[in-house]
Amino acid sequence: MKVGVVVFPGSNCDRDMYHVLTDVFHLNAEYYWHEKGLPENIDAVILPGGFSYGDRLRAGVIAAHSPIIKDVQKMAEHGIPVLGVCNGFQILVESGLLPGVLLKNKSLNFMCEWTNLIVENNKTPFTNQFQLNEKIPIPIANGEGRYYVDDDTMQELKKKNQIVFRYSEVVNGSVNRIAGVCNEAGNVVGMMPHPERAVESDINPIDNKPSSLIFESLLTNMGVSK
Amino acid sequence: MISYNTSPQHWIPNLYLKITIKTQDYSEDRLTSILFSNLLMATFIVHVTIENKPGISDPEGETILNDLVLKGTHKTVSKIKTAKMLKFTISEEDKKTAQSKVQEICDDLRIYNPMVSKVTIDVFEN
Repeated sequence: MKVGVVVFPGSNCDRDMYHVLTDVFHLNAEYYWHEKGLPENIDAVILPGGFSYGDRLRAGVIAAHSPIIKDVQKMAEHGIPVLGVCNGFQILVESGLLPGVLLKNKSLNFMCEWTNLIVENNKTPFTNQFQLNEKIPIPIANGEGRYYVDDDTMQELKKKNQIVFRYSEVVNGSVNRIAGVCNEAGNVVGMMPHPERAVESDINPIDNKPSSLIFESLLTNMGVSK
Repeated sequence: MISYNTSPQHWIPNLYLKITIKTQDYSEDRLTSILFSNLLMATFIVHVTIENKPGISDPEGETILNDLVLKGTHKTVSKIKTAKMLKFTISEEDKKTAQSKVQEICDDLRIYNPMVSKVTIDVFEN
């Protein structure tokens, strides 16, 4: 079982993600540079956070044209779990793998703080160990994290159960307080908060167990015994 | 591969042109048109203005209006919208082609996000 961590120029949470996958959850993980392809034997793909291409033009849009995204798209079509965190979420949105757009936070500030998420969909490969409405204390760290979709797309998202996480209170002006969504099939998930910064008790002053369930859900999806 | 060495001095003085083209890809008419179109290209400056669609909030514009302009003595201003402008320099046959080519680039490469933004394209002769 192998998890690919995609690295773009400007990714800066790739090593945190790799550390959590390997040292905390004992998974086999490997970095893949964005100019190369993904091998066929990958069981899950994670696009980590950071500032790919320095957020030039718009966060995630230049990375969305990287060669590796074609492979991520193929894997997504084959039902392989794909997770985008923060800048990874922005890249998934800009590449059309997920609906919507991430705008500058309402305050125009870079926001770095602890938030509470509410699980709205527990059927995805990254949320199958949660109860519905379960709370996750988790940090955000972004300048362009305000999720937006037009009204028609919002109706679609609700109808197809594509809203995965919402903030428990208004954080940055996201429409319907959305913090994470999935594609129609449910295997591609994007979220602005950083689970890789919340799964260890040493760096989580609140409770590291809920965030750990994101990775334990992936283990369950991949059929790995804990 | 074939090299075309032409010196069409009878109509453009002092011009020597060497173009290498894979001839198997093109008919003779097409080759002629490529040779001539390269000579007939003009340079245009194309301004692409990217701004939020109506209804999408623009907190930066609102801050500039409310916390800067309206706090001074300039009370006649009612709205300020921020936008991003890209200036392309492009060689095309004419103004219209330059405009449609830049529009195509903006659409294909998602230079703007169609869900929240719109683009206005203005072409200027260089």
